[in-house]
Amino acid sequence: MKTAISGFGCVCSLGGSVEEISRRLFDESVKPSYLKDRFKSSFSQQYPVFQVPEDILRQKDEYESYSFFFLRKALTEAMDKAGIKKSHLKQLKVGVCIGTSVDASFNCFDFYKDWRDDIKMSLDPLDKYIKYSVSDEVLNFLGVKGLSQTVVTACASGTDAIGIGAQWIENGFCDIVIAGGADELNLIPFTGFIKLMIASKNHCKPFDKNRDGINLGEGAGVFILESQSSLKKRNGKKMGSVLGYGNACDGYHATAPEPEGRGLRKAVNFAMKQAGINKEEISFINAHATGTLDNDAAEAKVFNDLLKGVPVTATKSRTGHALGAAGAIEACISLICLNVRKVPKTNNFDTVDEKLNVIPVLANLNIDKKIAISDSLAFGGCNACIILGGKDYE
Amino acid sequence: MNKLYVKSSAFADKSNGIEEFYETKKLRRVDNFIKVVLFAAAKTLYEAEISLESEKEDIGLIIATGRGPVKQTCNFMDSIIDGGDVLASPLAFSSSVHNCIETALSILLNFRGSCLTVSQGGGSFESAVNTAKSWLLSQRCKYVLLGAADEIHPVIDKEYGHKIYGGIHAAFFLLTFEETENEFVFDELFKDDFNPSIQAFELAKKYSSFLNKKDARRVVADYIKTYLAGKQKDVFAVFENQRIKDMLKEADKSEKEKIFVGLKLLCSVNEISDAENKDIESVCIESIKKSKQINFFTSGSTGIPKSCIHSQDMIKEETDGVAFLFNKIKRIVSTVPSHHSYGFIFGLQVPKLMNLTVVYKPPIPFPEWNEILQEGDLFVTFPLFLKYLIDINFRFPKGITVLTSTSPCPDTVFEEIYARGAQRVIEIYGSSETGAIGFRESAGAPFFLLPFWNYEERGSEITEVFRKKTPLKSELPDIVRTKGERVFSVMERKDHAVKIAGINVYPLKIEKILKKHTDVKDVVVRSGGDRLKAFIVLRDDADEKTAKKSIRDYIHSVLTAHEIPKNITFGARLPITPFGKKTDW
Repeated sequence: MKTAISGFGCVCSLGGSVEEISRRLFDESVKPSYLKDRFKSSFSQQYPVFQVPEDILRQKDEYESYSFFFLRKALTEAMDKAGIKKSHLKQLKVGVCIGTSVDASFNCFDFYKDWRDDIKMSLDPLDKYIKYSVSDEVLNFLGVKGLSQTVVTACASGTDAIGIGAQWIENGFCDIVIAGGADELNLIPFTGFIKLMIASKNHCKPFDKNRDGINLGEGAGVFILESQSSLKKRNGKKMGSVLGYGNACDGYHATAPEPEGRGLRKAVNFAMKQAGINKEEISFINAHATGTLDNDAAEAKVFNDLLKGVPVTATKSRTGHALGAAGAIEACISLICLNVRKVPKTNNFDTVDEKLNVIPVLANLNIDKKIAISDSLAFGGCNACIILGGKDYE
Repeated sequence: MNKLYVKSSAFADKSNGIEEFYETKKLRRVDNFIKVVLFAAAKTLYEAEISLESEKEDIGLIIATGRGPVKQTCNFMDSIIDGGDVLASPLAFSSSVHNCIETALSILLNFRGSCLTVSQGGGSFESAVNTAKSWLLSQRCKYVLLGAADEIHPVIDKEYGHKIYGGIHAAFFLLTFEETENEFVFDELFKDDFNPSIQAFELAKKYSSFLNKKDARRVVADYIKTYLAGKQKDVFAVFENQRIKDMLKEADKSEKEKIFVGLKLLCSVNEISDAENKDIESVCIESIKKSKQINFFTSGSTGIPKSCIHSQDMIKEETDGVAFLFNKIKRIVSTVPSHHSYGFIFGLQVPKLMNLTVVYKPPIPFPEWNEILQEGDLFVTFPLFLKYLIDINFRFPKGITVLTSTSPCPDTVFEEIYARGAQRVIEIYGSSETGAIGFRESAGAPFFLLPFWNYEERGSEITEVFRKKTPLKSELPDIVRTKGERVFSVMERKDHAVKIAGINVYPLKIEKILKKHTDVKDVVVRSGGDRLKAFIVLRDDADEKTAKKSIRDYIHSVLTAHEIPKNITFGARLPITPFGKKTDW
């Protein structure tokens, strides 16, 4: 596999564009904050989150979800970077593959509460939910028809969406695929993760011995994936490549990963085989690294067995866990790192966990290799992994 | 571009029957939505002969769900509304995650390869097909088990329930590039944003087997059991034997040859021989599935088997057309073998259509029948067995519907069954050639013609019946007279001529003549090759030696040379199958 990335865009707590994120990615001062008035929760002052900055949130249109707003913003940036206008797409076979969790769920809490209480109200939120899919909404936004897929493999959605999109290009289904993920902070997952006791009241500490859970985050990441022939035809420039994609399930538990990393191991092996690379060619791993006990342990097992010696960074310590968008945001960050040849330190890591035997990058690290791995683990034992090449990778 | 083929497919909208695959205790924490989905997935794998327990490394799993587990999402929100977010249910949250169907299936069916959940509203299934194809092209897996599953959202149900397909729908397709007889062709029909999985559900009906492997095995086994039960004394042992291979081992050479002749007809197989012994079961099952037909052949009054081939469409027409009789039925208990058209329709197809559990019991009148039958059961049986039950003074529990067919139900039996507590007794009139034609619910009453039939009449006699949707038409085996629009009475059996040395003779007429002899209690006359043969049961008080001589003299005095049976067999009772059908001797 060697699918070109001709543009990319990203929104997360670090900022509303690739440039802004690139600037803040290597800044040590990034910290989570507490929710103010996004939604009412008894827990909002106890559990910190990584929110998209206020000035960006204010740009949202009234009738769109935060998730779609983040996605629209990242998509617009990605298309600008790729030099593609909406009108260009009409001559091409277009695909849209987006991962999400909140934006595919019935999470209209206030509507549901009123409905349950028999309060008379408009059914518009329900009607919108019945007709809505985030990937179809992207096609509508672009004014084109094409393949459309909303991937909902929980926290692996964003990584899966990019991998699937790249495979569509490889298999000749599309000339261009808009692939990525989008998600927003929302009462339902916020409460759910707290109740499952895997949310941290502190700044999350991936791979640390004293890690005690996640900080939720939000945002979107979008890749413009393009076939080599389409790129050549319009004299586009490559910003990177998707070289491999693996996906495998644990078949083990509803919320916990298989302790030996069974599915992840298979996903990584497949992706590396598809990319035709060995571990010596990999500059770094952008780990899923949520900061939960079980996730980091399973991931560490696989890294030690398959990728020993490859530097590991955990960017959720800077962006939080953006659920269905996480894999896409981390893919964008990995591409930034490959292209600026630098990997950020893992924030908040203090104490080595001997059982894990993984010490993440502790200071911003210069790199010279051109390939990175980004992996995701999800509820239900979904595991996904993509291998990315930087702009200079031939 | 490679073509997609369907290796197997199945669908479900209820979980009744999942116990065939999983013990109840293993699923005690699984909610009904997941159970329905699991049932459809398990059936699909079973059809493809893939073990549910095996670790599936090269089978990808893709779930298309427009809504996901929405009831669990609502349960979680309910727990927040009712008790505040501090008391929200973590279990409801983890069960509300969109990919929880994929999770449950990957755990319970041991998937180890690529897995994915797609949620695209009414377009979920179509979207997922693209990725299934893409996975196969990139050799991520050899097969993809693609499923679509949705439950109706509680809010949508309340607000729009009047105009949507309700309930849970799950459908699965095992897709591959390996050529099978079923090329996968996507169907735009039935796309529905309210119940996104209905599209795949309807498509799966097209691709699912005419008869699943388990049911096909039952048809074959029931034929062999019925044959052996008629030949062997230990009927209990015959019915307890579940393995076709073992049953064949019990049969001697000549029995086996006769069984093979029957199986060839029943399953539309060209050749079966003892050399193939170990493969007989799969040869028969594959042939039924491939030919999409069953031959409910009868040995017939001439002793020569007569083909009664019913195609998949004919069977569907009949099943759909009789289901209205059983609206309030909760379960079916059948004593009728499924190689018989009556047993096949009412013991296999009706329960499948109506998602009812079936309990199969051999027709042996042990007292435990009281414990077997439960309120709400449809008891599929036949007059001879009902007579047995009357003989052992059986009383029906309340709420039982008794269904009887295969031979006319005497008025006395009909009345006695009602007297013994049956809530409803339905007699089906029909034949192996036609399937069910009419029904009645009281002794002596005329029959109502079932809705899928039309008929020709001459005077008041029905000369021919023909189906409305399929090309099945047939003369009736009896003289039948109309008693009003689509109502008829059965007068008597038609006497079909048999040619003996170029001359037509009539076995039923000869039976009637023989029955007039004072020592004859019962008699059957059939073709015995080039001449007729007779089986005679003497009256209990007859002197055997004198009676036999007297009967032979009588025969020669009243019958013509062509009518005289060449072979006469005397016995204590007429040769009948364990299901009360007259059989050859």
